[in-house]
Amino acid sequence: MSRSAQERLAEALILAEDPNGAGKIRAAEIRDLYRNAASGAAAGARPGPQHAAQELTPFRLFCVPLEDMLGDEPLPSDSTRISRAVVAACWAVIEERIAPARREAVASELAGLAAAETDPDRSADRVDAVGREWWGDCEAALTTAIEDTRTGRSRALADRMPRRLFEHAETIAAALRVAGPIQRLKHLLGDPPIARLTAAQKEALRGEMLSLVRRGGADPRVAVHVVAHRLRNPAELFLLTAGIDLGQASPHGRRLTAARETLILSVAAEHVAALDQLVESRSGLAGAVDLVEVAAALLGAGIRLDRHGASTEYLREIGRQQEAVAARLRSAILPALRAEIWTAWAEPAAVPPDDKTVLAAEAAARALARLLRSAALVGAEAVLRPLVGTVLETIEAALADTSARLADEGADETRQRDAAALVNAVRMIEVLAGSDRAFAALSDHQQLLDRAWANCRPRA
Amino acid sequence: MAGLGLAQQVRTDRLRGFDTPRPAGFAERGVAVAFTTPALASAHLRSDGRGRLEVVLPNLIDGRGVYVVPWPALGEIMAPTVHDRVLHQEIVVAPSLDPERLRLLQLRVMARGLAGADAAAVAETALAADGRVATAVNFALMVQLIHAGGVTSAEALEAAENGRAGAEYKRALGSVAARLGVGALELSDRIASLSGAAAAFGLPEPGPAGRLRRLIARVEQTATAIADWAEAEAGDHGEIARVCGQAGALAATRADAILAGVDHRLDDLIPTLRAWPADKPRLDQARLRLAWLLDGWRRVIVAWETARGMPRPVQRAALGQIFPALPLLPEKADPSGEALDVSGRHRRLMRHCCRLFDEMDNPAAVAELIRRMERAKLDAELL
Repeated sequence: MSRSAQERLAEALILAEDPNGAGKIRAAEIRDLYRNAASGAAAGARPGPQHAAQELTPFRLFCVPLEDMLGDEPLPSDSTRISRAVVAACWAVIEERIAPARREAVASELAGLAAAETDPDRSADRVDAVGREWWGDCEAALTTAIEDTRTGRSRALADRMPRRLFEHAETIAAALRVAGPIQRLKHLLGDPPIARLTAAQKEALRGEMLSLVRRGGADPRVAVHVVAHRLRNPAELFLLTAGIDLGQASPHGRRLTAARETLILSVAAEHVAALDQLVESRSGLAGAVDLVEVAAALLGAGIRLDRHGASTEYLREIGRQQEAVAARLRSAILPALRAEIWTAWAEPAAVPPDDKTVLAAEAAARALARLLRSAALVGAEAVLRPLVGTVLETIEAALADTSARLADEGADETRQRDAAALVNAVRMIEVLAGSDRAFAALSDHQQLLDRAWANCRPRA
Repeated sequence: MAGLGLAQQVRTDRLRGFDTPRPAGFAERGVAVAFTTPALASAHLRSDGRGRLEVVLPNLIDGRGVYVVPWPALGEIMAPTVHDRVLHQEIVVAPSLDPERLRLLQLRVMARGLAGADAAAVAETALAADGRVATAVNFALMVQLIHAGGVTSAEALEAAENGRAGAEYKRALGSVAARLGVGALELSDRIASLSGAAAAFGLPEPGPAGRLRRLIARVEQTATAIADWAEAEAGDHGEIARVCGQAGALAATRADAILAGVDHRLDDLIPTLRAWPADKPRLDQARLRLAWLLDGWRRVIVAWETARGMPRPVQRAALGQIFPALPLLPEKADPSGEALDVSGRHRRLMRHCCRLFDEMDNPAAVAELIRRMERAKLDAELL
């Protein structure tokens, strides 16, 4: 027995004598003595999202139903978003027309809310409760200002700057009129960014729309237009609501319905621009794949609005955007994915690729598999399918080589390494061609693998 | 069967199992298998009593009872992953199906790289860790015996300084061996064998904790965390969380009771060694009972840990994943009926809330979902 082992045993004896004793510190040392890697890496604590206790003011509360629509200047000329300058101008006319005492009362209620409520979900409900009346007050004040502007009694909303001030003020007033339904829809959709709607969400949205129509008094089209800005694929929401009878359309509802094409195209353009930024940075590849999926889904849903009165120019533009996404796929994303896969599989390597490289190649293969569906939506299937075919051929050739090596009796270590390589090849086939084909490939080499694995632990 | 991504339609009414509040026994509940096929995320596997395996799946359509699918029929309704097919091959030839044997089989399949190269490394680590705990338990038991043999710490320290500690320890162990009526080598063999059998439990603090002891602690922590979360949640999800928390607390309490019995035996080391190895089956039985009690809770822990710190909608979705396959205490494991209320509430909520549980409706994301499940397996082994 080594000296250090003897000393360790001696120290451990102290605890055996006096387990509760002179030594919480000692106990900790002994614990360390026994501690071993068997405890593993426990799932570490992940920091929670920072729910900043943002102080709500009457102005911020006024903005809550509109928040998804807000955008920073400079906004594209056809943007459906509303600039903060417009919102500030509208707030200025509202402030003038609402009594200071009322504003102070709301401010005081909001301050009490911030102090009392720490749970974000409950806080959202309480905000809605306070906002219900406030939004009504703001809407009344703004609508009066709009009327006064129309009749020439006021010029506050008639200025040329910010751009489209009057038009946007009307939209804001319409949104405030349906602030309650907007908030309900936002809660159903969840926090942005929202890439796609689940079946449960679609059902809940449909139900909410129908309920709104039954209650009457508000045009659901306005609420739909506002919350559509929350989605990375607003076309999905428009398709959903196109199939529902939303009742008589208000003038503003009709105008906003007509703006849906603009919204879809502007979001598509944003996605393409973001895609360009991501493909420039190699580390953005995963994000680029996600974005292609979202963009393709948006354009695929957008084109289906042709059954619901979409304009010819809009459909033509959708086609142009589809080609833009397809071009980025062809020129940047697919080559990058191919490169990731080739790093592990292109050439038979003297030194087999490490686990990280193998896993990166698998991730790239999974991305290719996901993009098969998206590629069909943007007309890039003709490029993607052959690439998948080439990758599969390469993998299967590598599998055959590995199998030949395994068949030659070699050292245990070499055989286990080759067995691992064979399994990696099977996994790649599974990702790209499905588990039936992959399992058939594995079964063809089962005997070789069993021999190689015979010395693997554990024995059950 | 909603959400299973079925390859083709099938007469699901032929697959319906009985709708009872809870299974009669653990064998009927089946073993929670860490499959990587997304549709099998909540699956249990059990024997049909005729030497064949069947998969038990929660009914997510109307929440009533379960679906029971003979394994050979599974291929008609879904395409299991290669990992799952190989795992099935291993299970079918195993002499029995229980959580401990399944764990080793799962590790074997993982070690072959069938759940990813990273999982292969983790499987090796997990197995090596089992061996290290056995060594640590061996060390701790030796310390107990040396003390029982009359060597105090002061004497041992002095002897260590003078290079005589080895002799002192041999003397102490020799005296213990004499009390047991065995030779020194035989004593050493018995300690080693006992350590191996006890490794899964480990020893209470400050001793080395084995994987089952650690798992009990994690079940308790997770049950408490979910119960705390329920305090701030109204509606169905709050009720679902409360049931999960209570089920976890019950399982942990029962597990603690079994562990206490084992700890008592290991504390009273001389009689235990005297009765060893004849007494080994009792310890093995205790390990198996504990493993059955804790079966399925790793999935719960990993699902909840993954959602920890995330926004509440994500946490609600995690509960939706956990709840259908919540490990309820079977009837035979609950003779006092203490867990009957939890089972009843689970059943009622499954019927009432099944619409909350069916989230898999994005076929394009299946490959990513499979990878997520492989990562969850990996995390479960690191608990």
